[in-house]
Amino acid sequence: MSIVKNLNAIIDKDEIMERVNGDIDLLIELMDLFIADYPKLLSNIKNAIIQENSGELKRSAHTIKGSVGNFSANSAYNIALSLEIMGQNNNFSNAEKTYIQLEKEIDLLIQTFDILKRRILYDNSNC
Amino acid sequence: MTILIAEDDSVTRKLLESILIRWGYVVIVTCDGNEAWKAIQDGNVPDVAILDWIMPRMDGLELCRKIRSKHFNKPIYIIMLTVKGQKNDIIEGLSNGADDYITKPFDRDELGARLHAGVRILELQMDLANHINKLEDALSKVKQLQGLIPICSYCKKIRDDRNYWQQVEEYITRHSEAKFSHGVCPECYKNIVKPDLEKILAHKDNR
Repeated sequence: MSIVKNLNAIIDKDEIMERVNGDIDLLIELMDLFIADYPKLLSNIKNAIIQENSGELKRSAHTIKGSVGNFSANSAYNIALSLEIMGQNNNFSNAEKTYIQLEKEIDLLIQTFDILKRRILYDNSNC
Repeated sequence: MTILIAEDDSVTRKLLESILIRWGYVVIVTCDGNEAWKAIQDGNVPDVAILDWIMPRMDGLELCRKIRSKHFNKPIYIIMLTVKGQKNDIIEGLSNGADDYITKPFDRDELGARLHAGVRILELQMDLANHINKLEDALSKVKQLQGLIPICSYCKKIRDDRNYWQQVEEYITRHSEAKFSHGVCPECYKNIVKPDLEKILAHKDNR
């Protein structure tokens, strides 16, 4: 498992805060929604690759791309975009390898959420 | 002002919903095109529909086409959610009835500005529709005199559609909102009424 050393290498915190207009509760709710949904999103992509279902790969990669885009998680976004394009072009040659990269990146993102949440709670407790 | 969201990604959906509620809109949230279409058919016709492009079951483009193929009692302003750089998607969306688009992940200020533009257009459309209704209503009450009207060269009676000859005032009363108040013009008074009166008086004197 990779370990998050620099939070800003995974997400753009300023951009996220701007997106939620500084609403910490909303940000936590969005992170929790992603944490609840990402296993299903990843499994949809994995199944699409196993079944070589290009339409489903394009759609499921697009969904996760949109989701991580809200957190300005650029690396995860770009990997999901690659998978979406593979689905669009019906090209599965690198799909499995790219999927593993996406899994790793999402794993880092979840760890980042954990750090971010703890920081928010810490900041709030010191207010 | 009611806004319908059709978006399969829970994070984008929640973010949109929160922003729109905070801005004072009534929000209908749906998870895909099918659910959105069902909500509309059940009577939840929104003023604005924000549709994600790629969704399971029914995508945003198909939903957009369905909305445009049906007549609703009010206009629906459609904004498509798309991704940066997908120029062909934007052209296809606009060609299929979308009014505007916004790229994901969306910028809150841009979303607000595009919504305001949409609301302004909707209000103009509603104003225009109201004016047209009023004009149509007024026109239905106005009887019009137009075309070639056959009139007798001697007695000046007019022939109607049923081939009956009518007095001019009767004909005009039937075919317009005009009404007549009868009087005598100075010429007719001189040529007709005065001689008649003189005859009556002369007849009276002789008796």
